[in-house]
Amino acid sequence: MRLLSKQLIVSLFGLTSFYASSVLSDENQVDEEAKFTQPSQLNDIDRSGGFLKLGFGYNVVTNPYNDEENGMSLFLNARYQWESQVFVEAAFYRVLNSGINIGYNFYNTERWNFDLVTNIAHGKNETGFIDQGKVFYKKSDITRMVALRTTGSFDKTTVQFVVAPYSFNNEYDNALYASVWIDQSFQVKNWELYAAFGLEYRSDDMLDYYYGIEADRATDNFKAYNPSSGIDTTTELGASYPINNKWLFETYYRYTRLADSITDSPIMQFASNLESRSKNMTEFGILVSYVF
Amino acid sequence: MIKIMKIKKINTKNIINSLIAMVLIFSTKLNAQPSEAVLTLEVDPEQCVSIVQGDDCYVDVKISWLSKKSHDYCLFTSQQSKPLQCWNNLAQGQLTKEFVSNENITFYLKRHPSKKIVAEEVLEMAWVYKNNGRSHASWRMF
Repeated sequence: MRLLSKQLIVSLFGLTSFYASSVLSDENQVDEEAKFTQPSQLNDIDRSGGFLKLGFGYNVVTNPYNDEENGMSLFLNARYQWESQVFVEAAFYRVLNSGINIGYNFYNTERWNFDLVTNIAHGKNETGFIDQGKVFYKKSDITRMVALRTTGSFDKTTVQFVVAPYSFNNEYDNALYASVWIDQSFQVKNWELYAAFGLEYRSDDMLDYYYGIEADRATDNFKAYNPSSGIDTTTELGASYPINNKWLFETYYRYTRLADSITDSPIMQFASNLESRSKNMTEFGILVSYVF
Repeated sequence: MIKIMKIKKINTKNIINSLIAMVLIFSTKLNAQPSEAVLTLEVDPEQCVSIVQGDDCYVDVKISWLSKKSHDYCLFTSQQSKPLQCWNNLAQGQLTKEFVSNENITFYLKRHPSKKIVAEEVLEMAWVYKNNGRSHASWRMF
């Protein structure tokens, strides 16, 4: 099992505790008989509560950053929101495999939720090679940011906008991340099919921190490179089928076309040509999930 | 003393009247029960599961019934007023049909032409995600 599994188990333990505490609390009990056919204005207490979905299955991941990974994997999607509107999310699942984040749900309308939330704008990179006797080594830390996020729910359609102007990574300045996502579901018999599309913008200083090559580090094959800002494009298609009222069969395929300013980097051009790597990112998964 | 005797007499008369009334009512109730006992009315599966509460649920249902006596029977559902199927002078029947619904469906077997319900069974609707006005996609995706 992957290293991810260990992280998932730790996350699951924490979120299961949150979930268990809500189940034990009468005040937080959800009225199972309540029926809502239209979105309704919920108060802060109504919005508190948890969600936990745990999946187990097979996935294949290809990208330029690591050798192809395939095998059995755990999937986790969980969230708990307190009455104080503070929430914690753990997403190791599908489109935004965004890890663990905390946030504050500061404003809601009938269809829109507005959150202040931590956000991983880019993972850490470590690149090292020897080119014609010259050592090239570059290590870039994770960029965790604070983002303003708004999510709109319209029956079978969900849209989300994220703007992250503040970075906790102090190794570079002017980090800016923004994204827009749309998810559309379709019902075909008892299957739910969905298509998701997203754009992710990263500022030039952020991409330079990860993919740039300074002139004094440049070699013959890895020439100096100063990327401009760029936009990644992600498309995901998937399907879910209810095995019963707790178990789902799910499958998905995701493709991310990295920004030209990323793929044009000599580092990435070298990496993507390595065996078991690819120029862009793809992921396929097939799993069964248990919804708590 | 005489007054007491009179009262007792009246009470006895009331009790007898009440008993007669009770017997009459009870016998009427007994007559309301189906004279022909339907042994079974089975609906398979008993539950239809959709992903989201309120979505239409699609299910192929096999409905079978068995009676002790042959009669004319018709199968009705809570979805429509006209019968799904009728059987003439039979003691058993079967129907397989696809149903689409977002609420429980009750099946009634009625004696024809009296339309007396002799058996009923419910097909329950279930779901994975409760519809609480917030798209589960927001949980799933974001």
